[in-house]
Amino acid sequence: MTPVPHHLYVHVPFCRLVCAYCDFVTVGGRADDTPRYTDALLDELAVRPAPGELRTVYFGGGTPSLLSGVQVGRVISAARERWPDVALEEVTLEANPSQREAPDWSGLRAAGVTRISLGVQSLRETDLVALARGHSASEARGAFASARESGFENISIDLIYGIPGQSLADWRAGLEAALELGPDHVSCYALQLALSPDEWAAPPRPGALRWRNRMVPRQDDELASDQYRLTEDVLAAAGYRHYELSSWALPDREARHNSAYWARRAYTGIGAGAHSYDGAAERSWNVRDLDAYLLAAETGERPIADREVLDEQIRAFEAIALGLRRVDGISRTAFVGEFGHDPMERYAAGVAATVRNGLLEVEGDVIRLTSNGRLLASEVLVAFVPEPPTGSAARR
Amino acid sequence: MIPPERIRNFSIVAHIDHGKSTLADRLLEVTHTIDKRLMQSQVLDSMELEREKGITIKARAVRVHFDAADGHTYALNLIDTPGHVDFTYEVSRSLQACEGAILVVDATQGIEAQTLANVHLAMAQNLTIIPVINKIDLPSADPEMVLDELEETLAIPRQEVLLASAKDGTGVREILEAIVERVPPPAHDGRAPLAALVFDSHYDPYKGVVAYVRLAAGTLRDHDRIRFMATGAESDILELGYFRPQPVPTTRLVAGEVGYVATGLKSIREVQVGDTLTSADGGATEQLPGYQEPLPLVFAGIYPMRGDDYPELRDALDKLHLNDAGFVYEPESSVALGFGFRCGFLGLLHMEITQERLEREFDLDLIASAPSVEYRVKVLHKADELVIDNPAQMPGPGEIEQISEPWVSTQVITPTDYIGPLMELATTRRGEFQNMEYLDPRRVNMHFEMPLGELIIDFYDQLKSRSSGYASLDYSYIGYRPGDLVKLDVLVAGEPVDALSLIVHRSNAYRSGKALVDKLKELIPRQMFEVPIQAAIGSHIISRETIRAMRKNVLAKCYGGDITRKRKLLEKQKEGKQRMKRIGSVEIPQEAFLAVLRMNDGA
Repeated sequence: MTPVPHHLYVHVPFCRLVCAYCDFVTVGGRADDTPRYTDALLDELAVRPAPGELRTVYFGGGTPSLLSGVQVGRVISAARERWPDVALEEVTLEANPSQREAPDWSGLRAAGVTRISLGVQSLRETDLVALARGHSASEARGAFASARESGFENISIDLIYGIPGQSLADWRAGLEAALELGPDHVSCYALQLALSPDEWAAPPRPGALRWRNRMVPRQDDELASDQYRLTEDVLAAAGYRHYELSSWALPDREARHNSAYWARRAYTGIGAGAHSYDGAAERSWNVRDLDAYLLAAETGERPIADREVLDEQIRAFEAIALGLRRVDGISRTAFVGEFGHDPMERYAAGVAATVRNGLLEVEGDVIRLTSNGRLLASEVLVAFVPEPPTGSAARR
Repeated sequence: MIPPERIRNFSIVAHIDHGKSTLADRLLEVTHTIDKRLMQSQVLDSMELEREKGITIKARAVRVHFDAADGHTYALNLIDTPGHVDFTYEVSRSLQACEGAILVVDATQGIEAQTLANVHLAMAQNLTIIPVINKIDLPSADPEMVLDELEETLAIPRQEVLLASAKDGTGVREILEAIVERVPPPAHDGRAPLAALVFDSHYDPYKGVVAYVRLAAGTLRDHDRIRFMATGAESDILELGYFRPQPVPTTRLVAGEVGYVATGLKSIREVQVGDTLTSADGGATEQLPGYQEPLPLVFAGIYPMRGDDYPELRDALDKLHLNDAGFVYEPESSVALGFGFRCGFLGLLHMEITQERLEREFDLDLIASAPSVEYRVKVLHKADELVIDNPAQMPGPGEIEQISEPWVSTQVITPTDYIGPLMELATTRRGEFQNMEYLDPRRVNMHFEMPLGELIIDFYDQLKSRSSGYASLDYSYIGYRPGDLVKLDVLVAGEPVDALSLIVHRSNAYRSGKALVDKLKELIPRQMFEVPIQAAIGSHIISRETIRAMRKNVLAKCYGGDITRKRKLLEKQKEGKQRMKRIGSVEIPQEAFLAVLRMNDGA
């Protein structure tokens, strides 16, 4: 019997500079705490179950490259020891291309990291200034080259479009410059500047909010959607396959860890604010606050903040929401096999409208977003959101 | 028992805020009708809303005993009158129950339009006018100016005018003495067949409809069986009495007296203001003069904000209806607003008060469509006229031979500084200038005739804002006139939005259409497809805008496996969509409708 794949996410919240647009769990000016944090990660790992076969590890942040190779190595070794079954296919670490915090490339390589996700964001200086990234385009090029020289064969870069002041031509030039580096994988994200508390994981700092308030009026959705279209064309021409809303890869270079999320596989998240999923009906997440996390982990308990039990309807919705992120879409028969109903039927009226409007297409067994639909994914997904249980609908 | 020759029946005529209620309070206090310590400010205005708005909605009658300088005790019946233009008919019935009226004019403000209208009513009914200049204690008081105005506009000799301050009590005794001396006692034929004027009524859950009456002839006993002549309703009297100001039951009322009759009747419609109460057997053969059916002039759709509240709204309207004969309603439905009611009101203020009472007393959130009037429509090749109070029901332009609309005669009293702007306002509202007279060198009374439909949309607010609040308005219905009117439809993605249809004069159609289309363009969020917004007269499009299709709405990034938050965001988005109204396939937030309907109030 083939073992059930499992995945490990390690959150590293430290940043030298916290970016004003970032919504992840981050903390600035605490880099001295990395040794204590590494210990806490090991403490947490020791009390978390280690089911299935460990296939991928992903160090996300924050800035995981602020950890030394030795610290990263301790976590990877601990994970290997904790899981009875290990068949690692990919160990990714997110790195920041700044000279002042140059990653310990050879140390990371020695520790077992196989894949680097480099936060280039842009190769245009004005964009980097606008985003206050704290590194230059040439530093980014240098970081990429150093990682390659240190033996990393699988490097992904992140790029951001929809930056105020970034024209369509600027974006094309930036994309082409990025391709000259020869990345194995490219993630392109629209700059999303949430202003509404509904969209915040936690309230942004006042300075960040002021910055967002200045930037948002200068954003242009029309331009951003043109930039996205252009990205699809340019990357396809360069041999990258568009396999997820925001992800493109050379053959066999798809991000395996992220793909596990979209396939609803089980993962364990450790570190402040990290999320876990048991692969069935439970999602849970850790406390976000760094100090609360440290204290809890050090007492030998999982620093859990809360958990959520997913009912059948919610699981079906997640299967659609995550499945449609993949350019290949979802299989109708597989869905019927798991949930016993056809996804096109339960919310037929709303779903039909998305098909009519050319956002969703059904081709044989496959349901997927169209090119227009990828830009309006949220509009499409809303049609599949289950009705709230009748009790909570009565609000008065 | 006070003999009929020592009874005096009188009203107070005054503009809002000129001190009617304060004077009434003072009269009760000076005559020891109510203890000063127990005095709740402005006892006569018994509804909370009246006290807040500073106006009197329901007339009340209070009997006070006054020991006059001549050594006799008099029974004075103060019949309170509503102080607003919508209730002219009620005012006229209250005045008909009196022999005299105190005219109160603010020493700092001078005569206002409604006061003038009401004094004319009182004079037409041969009431003795006792002019009083109030608020003479204020530093800005200018009694001389007001004396000039009274002389100029009403030919009231200066020596007849009393000066008073209801606030500090100055002149209040003199007013009471003047009532005794100048106002004649009522005619008191106690043997003639019973005839009593109903000048007000209200519904009491225990006693049924209570009629407020002034006996013109005959005697009313507490065991009589009575009949209302216009409606034909009959009942036995449950209770007979008068107010001091609390109800005091009595065994009989005689000609000239004022009091109340509890009838046990279940509907206020059986006891109409202006009707004549008489004995069920051998009563009067002729009604007292002046009875009119209440005439709703202003109409609007009233809808619950939440569709679930429809039954509550129905109950609330049923309850209000029990107590307000001037208010009518019937169910209607709108594609945009759901299920609601078409309501008719005596006027704008009446509409505003009714809406506020529904929201406040019944805890409802409401949406009201733009106010409309009742149009009379001649359809081609048909003999009958259609009566249309909801623009959405207007037939297509090809079927219409002629549309008529109600007109009113208005008078606007304003300081001379604002003549220009107000003239312009009235003419843009299709007002036809009649004439203008000077009340004094600084103030004029302008007369216009204009369509009521133009008056009810924001005219009063505009009048106030263009005159820095100084102008006052009175209007009265004069009849229907044909007009070059068209129905303006708003179409969203080709679908007409019934709640936004308007009847406008052809000359204003383009401007109104463009304003509506522009506003909707601003308010309707982008959809998954392009949405044309059009204003049309029949099939003729007069204005068009397009809302471009939404291009981008995607959560680009998955936050380290945080699927829950993403789902919650989508759930929120769905909830928002479900609160939206649907016109065809276009989703429109309720707020957009509200904003457009408010714009109708203010455009």
